[in-house]
Amino acid sequence: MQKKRRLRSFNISLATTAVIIILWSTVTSLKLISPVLLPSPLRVGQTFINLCLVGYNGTLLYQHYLITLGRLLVAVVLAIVIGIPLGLLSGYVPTVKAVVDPIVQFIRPIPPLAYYTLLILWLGIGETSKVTLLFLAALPPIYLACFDAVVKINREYIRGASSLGADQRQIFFHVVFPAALPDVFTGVRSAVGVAYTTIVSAEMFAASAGIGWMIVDASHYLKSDVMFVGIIVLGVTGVVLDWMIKLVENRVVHWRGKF
Amino acid sequence: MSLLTIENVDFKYAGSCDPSLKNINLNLESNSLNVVIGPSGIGKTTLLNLIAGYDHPSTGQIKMAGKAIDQPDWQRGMVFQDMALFPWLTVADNILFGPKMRHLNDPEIQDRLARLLAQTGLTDYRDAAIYELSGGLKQRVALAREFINRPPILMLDESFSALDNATRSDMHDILLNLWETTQNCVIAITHDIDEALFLGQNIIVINQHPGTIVSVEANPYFKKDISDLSGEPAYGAFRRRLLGLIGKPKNR
Repeated sequence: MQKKRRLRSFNISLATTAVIIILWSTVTSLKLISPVLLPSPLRVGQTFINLCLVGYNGTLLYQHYLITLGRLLVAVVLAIVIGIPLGLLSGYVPTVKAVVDPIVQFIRPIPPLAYYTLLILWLGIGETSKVTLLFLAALPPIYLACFDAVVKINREYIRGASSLGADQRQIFFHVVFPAALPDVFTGVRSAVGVAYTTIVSAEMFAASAGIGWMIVDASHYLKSDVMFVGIIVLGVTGVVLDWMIKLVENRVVHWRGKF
Repeated sequence: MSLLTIENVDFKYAGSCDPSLKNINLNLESNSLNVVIGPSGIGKTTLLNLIAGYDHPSTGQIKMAGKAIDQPDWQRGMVFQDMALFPWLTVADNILFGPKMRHLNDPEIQDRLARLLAQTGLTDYRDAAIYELSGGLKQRVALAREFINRPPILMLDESFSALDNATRSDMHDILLNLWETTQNCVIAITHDIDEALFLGQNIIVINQHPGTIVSVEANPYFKKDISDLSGEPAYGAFRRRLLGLIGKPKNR
């Protein structure tokens, strides 16, 4: 029954995509919008192949792609490695919260571009400033998800564990951490999303490669077909990344929604 | 010396003007099955929280084997109404949680696990996920998780109240069977007078406001089938007397 429902949902999504492409083709073939503003799907396809074989600015599309993905993954992994323990500990140990929370709460609402130029001044125009920008964008969602997860943990889990003989350290690792895992995954998904939306900003300045840079550079020369390829590549990658995280989540947090 | 001694205990929640419990005095022995009854909100769970070490008396003291209770530990187990089983662990891993935390990995623990699984009818569910079980089976896991630790004091906070009558009756039998093998001191909270009469060697009645122990009754009908007793005048009188003691909280 559930499989049938999932298949139906997939078919609807497929049909929606097909309708969008048909509409797009119709609008461009009837020349209702200038090809400079909206290239045809065929043109975008040809540009995609061209970018794969010839490249953009001397760099092949997959190389741009790997550079962007590398920056994103390094930043997100750093945010996961630092944000998860920091968020969990902040929720569990009031002193840690008192130290860390104001800093994260301060960073959280600031648009990353506001401090990007400062990061470039401090860290240079290389990879460090770009990865740091993405890291700072990805950290708050993970931290907050973990913090909230600990705060809302069923108090009886902790009381029950202590009455079974667990000490504070054991409760943290054997109860708090697994109980928080469903929300940790939600935080990771949000963090990947936020980092992803920041990637174009990160590659906007002082870069010469990367999908974000390619989009920005192509916009200077009104190469909308290249921009479309970049946007589609980013969009598809975002969907695939989210799907992969969900896949891992379903395996690790097998009890989610069932208890 | 009693296993558990409660002396002149008052308890007031932080920020509250009125105490929740006042002048609680109680002595409980090991190998005893004690049921606490009383109206809702009278402080029964608060009393268990104090014994467990989750909260601390405002005045007076609670001692276990002569030693003041200052924090929770495995020697005072607790079965909650919603069981608080860990959904990320299997049935066996939930039961083995206590021994694992206490670094007990000897073969004796595996023997205890096998015996408990058999006694609670969970042998076939050993590797099942918790969320695959019915409410009654989950409650069995919760009991087994405590009994494997063999705590000298085991508390049950309305543990069977959400179960249907047939499942509850099964749970009574399982509890009595486990208790007879471990001979620990069980303190069970219930709202149900019939459950109290069947399960309690001693029935502790809490009433008034703030909550205080108004009576500790030795129960002559412990483990006796109610259907055989319903026509007996002495049983009816005892039951009515308990109902009278529970009554409605005064001055609320």
